Amino acid sequence: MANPALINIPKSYVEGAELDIVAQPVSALTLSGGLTYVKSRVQEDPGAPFAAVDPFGKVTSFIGEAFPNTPAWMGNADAVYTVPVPGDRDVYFGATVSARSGPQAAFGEAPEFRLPGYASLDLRAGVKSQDEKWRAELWTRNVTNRAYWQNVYNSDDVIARAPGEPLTDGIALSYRFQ
Amino acid sequence: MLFRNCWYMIAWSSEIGRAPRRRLIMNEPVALYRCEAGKAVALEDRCPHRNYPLSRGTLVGDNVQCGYHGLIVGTDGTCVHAPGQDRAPSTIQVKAYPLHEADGIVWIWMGIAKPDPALLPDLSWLHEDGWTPWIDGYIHLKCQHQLLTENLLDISHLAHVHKSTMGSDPEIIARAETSVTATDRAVRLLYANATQGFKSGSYSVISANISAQFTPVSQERVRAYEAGFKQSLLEHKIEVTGAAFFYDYKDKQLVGTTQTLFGQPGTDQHSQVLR
Repeated sequence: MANPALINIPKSYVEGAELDIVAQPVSALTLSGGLTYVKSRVQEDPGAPFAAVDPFGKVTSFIGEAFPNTPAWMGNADAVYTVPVPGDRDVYFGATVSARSGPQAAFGEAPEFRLPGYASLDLRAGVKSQDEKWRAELWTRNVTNRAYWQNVYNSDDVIARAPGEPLTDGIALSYRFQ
Repeated sequence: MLFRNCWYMIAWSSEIGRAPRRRLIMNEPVALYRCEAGKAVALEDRCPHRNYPLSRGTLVGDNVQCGYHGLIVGTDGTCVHAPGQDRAPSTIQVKAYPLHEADGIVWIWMGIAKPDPALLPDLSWLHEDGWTPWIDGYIHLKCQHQLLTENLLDISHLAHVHKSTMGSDPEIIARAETSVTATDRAVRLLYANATQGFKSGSYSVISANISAQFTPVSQERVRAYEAGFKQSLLEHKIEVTGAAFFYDYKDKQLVGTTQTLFGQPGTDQHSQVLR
């Protein structure tokens, strides 16, 4: 019987770097991308009233482990192409790829709690007024229908996984009143 | 952040008096008023208590009293009186902006760096004899700020648009020598900072099966060091920003696992996972 709870890690650190680039090679095309690297490490095991136990209740050591749900790598790339059309409107087409590496969902390095790395492609196309007052957009997310899960939970002797969104299509209409 | 370390004109001297007035600059609401001795004061326009605009309050001596619950804020932005309390909670405060008043103009410093009086333009000539009597006032233009800058740089429209006031012979204006010097001071930024932060002690608010899950965690401390840059390339066609960081934690609050009720499980406890 083991259950999740907040604990204090006496000593730990995070180091990392991030880089973002936005480029507009021609006025109609905007490219952007970002990359983040995060190295998180436990340097000292929790002491009483807490203990270094994995989700199965087995006593272990967290020293050298990354924080739960903290991917080492995260990145995204986006491209949007905008064409003005008569009537002060813009038609636009966009694509986004976002990716991350797979962290552990809990301390203890149990294979059941390893989350997969994944990359997901989203597409969008729409029309908007040039003053950004209104917008109508068709979008589709996770175009390749990549199956992944976002988290793993444990409670007593049950392990549950939360899957990521499958291929999803939608329509978005927005209007700004001010 | 690039254009913050500059002086901005926030008002004419004549506009600031003993009634607080609100003005929005760089998207920050600012309350303006004068002390009894005449010194102009600029405070972030919100009461540190419930965010009601201080500009709707009343002046009590050199301080401003919020019109909502009566908190009194001093000229440095610190709370000096809270109704019903013996001691003022001086740790609650709003931002006080440095001002510089000269030649009938009140300038405000919006930056985080130390205000630099050397950056102020010398406009004392505005009051010299031979110039028209002093004009003030305020026109709110609902347009992109760049359009106004372009308009002020456009000399040749004066003769035609403003021919009944300041325009003169189009030929004279067309032949006048003008020069514009571009200063490209905003293309590069480097920064570094070190901060210390705390997260107070707490306990899990998620649902629990056993009481041990509610064992409280103690305060977390982080010392954060960060350095970064921002750079424009190829005539602003590419903007690159980057940062590197190091966070040193003491007693970081993270989700772990409670100790089991029935002691150590066997290693074969790693049971089958449903897929």
